[in-house]
Amino acid sequence: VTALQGLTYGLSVAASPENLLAALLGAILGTAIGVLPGLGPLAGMALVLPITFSLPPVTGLIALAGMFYGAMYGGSTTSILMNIPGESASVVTLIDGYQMTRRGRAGAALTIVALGSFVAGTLSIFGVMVFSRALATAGFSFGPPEFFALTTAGLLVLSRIARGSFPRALFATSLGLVLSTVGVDAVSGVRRYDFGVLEASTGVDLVPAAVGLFGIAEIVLLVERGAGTIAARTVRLRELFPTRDELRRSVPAWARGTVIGFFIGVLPGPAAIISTFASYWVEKTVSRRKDEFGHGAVEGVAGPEAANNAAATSAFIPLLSLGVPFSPILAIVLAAMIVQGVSPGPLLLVQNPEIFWGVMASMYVGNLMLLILNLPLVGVWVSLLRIPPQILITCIALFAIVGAYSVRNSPFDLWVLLAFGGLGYLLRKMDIDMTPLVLALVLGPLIEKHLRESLFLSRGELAVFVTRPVSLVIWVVTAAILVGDPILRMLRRRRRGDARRSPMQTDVAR
Amino acid sequence: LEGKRRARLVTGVLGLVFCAGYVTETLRTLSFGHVSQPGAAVFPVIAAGLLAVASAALVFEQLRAPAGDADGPFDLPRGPARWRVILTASGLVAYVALAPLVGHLAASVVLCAVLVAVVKPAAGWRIAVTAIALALSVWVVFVRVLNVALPSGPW
Repeated sequence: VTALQGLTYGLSVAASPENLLAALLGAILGTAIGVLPGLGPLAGMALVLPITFSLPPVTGLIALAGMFYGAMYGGSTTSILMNIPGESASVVTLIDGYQMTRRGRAGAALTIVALGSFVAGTLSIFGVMVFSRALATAGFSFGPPEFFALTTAGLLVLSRIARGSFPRALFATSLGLVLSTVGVDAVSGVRRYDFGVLEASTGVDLVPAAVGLFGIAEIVLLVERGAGTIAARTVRLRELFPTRDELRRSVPAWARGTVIGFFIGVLPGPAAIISTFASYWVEKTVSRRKDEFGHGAVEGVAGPEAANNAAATSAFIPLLSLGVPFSPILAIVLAAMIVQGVSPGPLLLVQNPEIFWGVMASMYVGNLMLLILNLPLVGVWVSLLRIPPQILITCIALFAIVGAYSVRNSPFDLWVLLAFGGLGYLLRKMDIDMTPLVLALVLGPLIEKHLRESLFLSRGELAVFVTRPVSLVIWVVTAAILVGDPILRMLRRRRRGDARRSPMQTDVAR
Repeated sequence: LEGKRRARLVTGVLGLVFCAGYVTETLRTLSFGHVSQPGAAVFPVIAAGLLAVASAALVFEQLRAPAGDADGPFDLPRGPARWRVILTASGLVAYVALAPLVGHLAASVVLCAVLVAVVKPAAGWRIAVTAIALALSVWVVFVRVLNVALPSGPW
């Protein structure tokens, strides 16, 4: 099947009424989640995950994907209009986006963002189709040592580039790995660390853990700060059209942002955030109007937003082709696939082509829906921020509880939700990034499985982890990422020290 | 050391203590197997080793840092904010404890009342009406419309 045939087939799947409705509702709900500060896409997707279980697999996944890119779009709306990033990837957009609003160009900024998101999303979908197929083909040659290297390297790299210092991120990662060992051992069937509590033998589920860490912790922090309603600005329809000059300046920025976002999105880590910063830096570097940056530069909005959307789309490549999620959001999608009985990985294209092509095509359709619907509805999204805080916070708490309980109908999961809520609150207070913890919780069982399978198959030969070419390359690249930065910093410090010493030596010589 | 750095130092030390207990429990209850047939204890010990290294690195990082609270204070809530946090946490714990006994609807009315009162204090009857309306709306949407299973209690 060629990419074009696949896309045609995918469009026929995505165009069914229930899948169109799922994409629409997902995109709308995602936009609402992106608009509301505090409720990020991760907690939002975890909250609605149980609802998708009652839908057919492809429909549920289309709704979740719609929420993901909808949230990316919604986050930028509040960044531009109110200087409040709805989610972390929109932080860069507010630098110049809000300045455009102050200059009376809010409508143009929103249109540039929407068009850029659409262009980047559309181009990235074609990239995902091509690269996922290539990677899935390569994935057939992957054995347990390669998957062990890939999953372990993903976690280590994420620890290296997560927010805060390396020890802090490594602490969160290893805590997640330890917590992932709770429950029945999948290989031997032995119960581990459940202390006689039967419900604990099923392990710590991702949904209550993620909702607790991000949702409950956020609720407590909002209550602590004393949340209030926000004065929101509205935009009229006629203000939405950018000038010809603004459009002309946006096009190359969209193209650069798409390429940057696409390639960063495939890598482990907070791709959406990194890609926006990288794109902003590139735009500022290549621009002839550097002094405009920080004061409402069109490129400062167009590039990062395209990068953000491209990264959100290309992040699906490792999940769909190898079955490895490199971000907590994709881990939620993986959880949905597993519950629905779908195995992501090299065989997905063969066994469930309707899911692969249907989800891809629905992203294209969803992006188009966002473009058509969201600009006229900007006023509606902004009005969400006028919901009284006592109603909003209470509803989020109830959704969190419903989401955590309904995955396994287990009261134990409610206690897990509270425990992780408390943990998330303390970690946030200490500036320890929780993203590696969530990812480690998901990847931990996979790492253990691949580790033990590798040792079984090699009859205890430890060299199996480094003698196969693919795993060796993965380890070398990981080692370069882990030790490269400290070495470069040390060399720079030494060079600076030498530079400082040399004038003194010259003086002494004189 | 002050502020967040002191909090992280304590966290690192607690991490090391936790590792000791975790490894002891692992050695007591699980088997290592053989290198060609690794048992259930192998991965937990590796994970605990990594946590111990990370905890030690966290402690070392804080000790190496200059004195003071350059990373900002570890600001646990004080005054009215402390009470808001305590009441919110109590409301959530009350829900989790009550839901299996009295069902989701009744327990969520209690939680809603606590949260509404904490976030925006108002007259008792207004809090009660808002709490009942919110709990009932969420129950109708999830249980009646979407058929999501929630704790039903004795009914």
